[in-house]
Amino acid sequence: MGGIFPPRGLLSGGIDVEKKKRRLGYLFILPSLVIIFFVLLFPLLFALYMSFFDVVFAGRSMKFYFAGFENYLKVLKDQSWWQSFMNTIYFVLADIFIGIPLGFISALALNRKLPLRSLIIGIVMLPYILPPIVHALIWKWIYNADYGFLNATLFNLGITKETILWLVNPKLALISLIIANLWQGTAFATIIYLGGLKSIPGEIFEAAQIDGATKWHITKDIVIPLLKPFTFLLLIMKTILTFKIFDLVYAVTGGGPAGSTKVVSLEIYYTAFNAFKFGKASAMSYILLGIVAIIVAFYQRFFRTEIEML
Amino acid sequence: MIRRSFALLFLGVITVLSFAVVELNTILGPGDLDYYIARNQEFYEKTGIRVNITVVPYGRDVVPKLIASFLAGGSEYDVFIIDCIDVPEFVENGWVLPVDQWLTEDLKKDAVPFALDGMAYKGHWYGLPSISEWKSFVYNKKMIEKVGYKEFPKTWDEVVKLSKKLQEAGVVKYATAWSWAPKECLVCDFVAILSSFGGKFFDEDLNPVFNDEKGVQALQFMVDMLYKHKIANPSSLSWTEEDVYSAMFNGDVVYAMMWGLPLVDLNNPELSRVVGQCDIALMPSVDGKHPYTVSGPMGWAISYGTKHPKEAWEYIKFIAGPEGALDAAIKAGVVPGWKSVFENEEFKKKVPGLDKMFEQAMYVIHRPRVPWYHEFSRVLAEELHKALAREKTPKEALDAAAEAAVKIREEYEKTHEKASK
Repeated sequence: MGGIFPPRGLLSGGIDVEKKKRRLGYLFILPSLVIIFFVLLFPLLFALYMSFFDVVFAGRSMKFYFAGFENYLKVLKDQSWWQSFMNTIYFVLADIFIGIPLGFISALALNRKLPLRSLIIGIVMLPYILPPIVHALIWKWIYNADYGFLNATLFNLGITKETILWLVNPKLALISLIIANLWQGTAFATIIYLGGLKSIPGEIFEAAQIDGATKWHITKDIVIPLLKPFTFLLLIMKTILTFKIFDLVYAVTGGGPAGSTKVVSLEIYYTAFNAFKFGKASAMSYILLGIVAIIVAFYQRFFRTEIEML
Repeated sequence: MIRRSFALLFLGVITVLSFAVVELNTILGPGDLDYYIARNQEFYEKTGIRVNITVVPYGRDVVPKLIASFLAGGSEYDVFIIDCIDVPEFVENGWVLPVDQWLTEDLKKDAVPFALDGMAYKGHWYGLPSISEWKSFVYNKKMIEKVGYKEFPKTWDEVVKLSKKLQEAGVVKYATAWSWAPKECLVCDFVAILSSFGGKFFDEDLNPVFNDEKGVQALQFMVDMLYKHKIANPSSLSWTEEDVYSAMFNGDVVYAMMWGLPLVDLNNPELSRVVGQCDIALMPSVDGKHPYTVSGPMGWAISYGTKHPKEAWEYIKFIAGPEGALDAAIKAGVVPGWKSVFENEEFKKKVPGLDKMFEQAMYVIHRPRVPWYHEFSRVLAEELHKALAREKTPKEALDAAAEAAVKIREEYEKTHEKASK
């Protein structure tokens, strides 16, 4: 580069050119910055602002009454919020401790020569590609006690003679939704791990095989360590995405039975757009954001090496 | 010269503006969209007023968009469909124009009482009734004949007996199903059943009374239908209206409650396997004397911010007045809110069971008409569901909902008192 361009200052007005270039650069990124400000930053800051106010419809305008931390305290004292929070935690834990290992196993299975491999990969990816509402409606039908696929299959296989009320029994309903969510979450993990496996040079496997390593050893000592950055990525992504779970619960159970499948996003949605308590809903959102941020910070502390590798 | 040119230009602009087409804007869900587009074209040909439609994916999605438009001046949508449960909140906030000045005595006399009442609040009217629905009690006549019944029973005790006979005879696995998912549909069914037990929601000072003896009896009966009598499909706890309709269309249940013009769909071979088998009865009740059901009337209303209130009234009169309602009823199956339409011969021919439907229309109860309804409704649905899932006793669930209702009301009054100062 240095050979092509003369050193700075040799051309008359070199500094001016540099300045102009910089200004031009700012001009180019200005539209993006404006969009980011209005679409991302402004709503975020405005929601934070609202979380400290009682926001009330006062006739034809909204009035803001300063409430300090009252909205936050109300949320933290609200049993319904904590029930939703705990339910959300179950979704997150299942997605991390079951979804990630399942995704890893299916990625390993798909990362080899198979007949119709592309088609199989396409089918495995399907849950992730589906629009969330379609995903939800599919599972609503699967779990339908009377016409559903699951009961019909269990009945035809002779496994059960009774109708199982998947979405009516409070304990069963939560587990049923967690499984439905895993269907999509596992596909996501598979995609990420497949990408990770492709990034490992083939020579490493060949060398290990020449040294007499078994498949188990290759997986344990080569694949898992080399995929650590991807595991970390999945941890972060799944924590963030699963904490936001909404469509599935909204469409399949609406938070029932008896509030047993309520999740945080649903609670925020109803508080904002049903009760129109924008201040309280904003406080809920920021509490959720805080919790997720703490978890992600915790991950970063324990996966410092993997972060550097990403 | 310059002055003359400006004067001519000004005159030209005024002339053009005076002939400019008035445009009204509205917002709708996807239901009957083709019908409304066609009617808007007819309205344009008749009056020269254009009506533009913004479409949202689901009917209730209009509410947040309407509220956003009201807070920004209310001129984005001139006319809109308002649900009776939104009327108090919209009126309290001044978002909807009263239509008293245009509502003639003839119109008032012709209106089905509950339908117009659904558009009224604190002594004023805020719209013309349209989609003036209530939940009809529908049953499969052929099935009850199999166990020796010719008419549907009038009391709940008799209904339980009939249901058990039907199930014992193997006619159906469950005699009935309900839309008891923890949503608005559950509150609607509770309103109907509570009323059929002679109960009500609030006293005149808006203190909850739905947790009194009658309320507990009503909810206990709902629980008993599931677990003691085992006559209601337990899947009801996750079902909305559409699921119940499917069960009825498939002949899987003998009786259920349905909105709209149920016999039209039940007799449609493309939807139903029980064509010609069903009929409408009055809602059963605890003593046969309270055949009340739940109402869900809607209406066409005018935004406070419209720049064309007269044209807006012209439009809602065209689309939802008696003539418009007849057209909508015949062509799109929209339930009318006018007596004259129910008496119309063409409509009667098209809709079987209309006389019985209309009889039920005289026994309808609105959901609570309070500006804090939506917040309360959600809490109530959740508490009712806890009782239905046997997480709480009916008394515990209703007491919790009553306590929440008082809190919500007090909080609303406190904040709105502050806001009005």
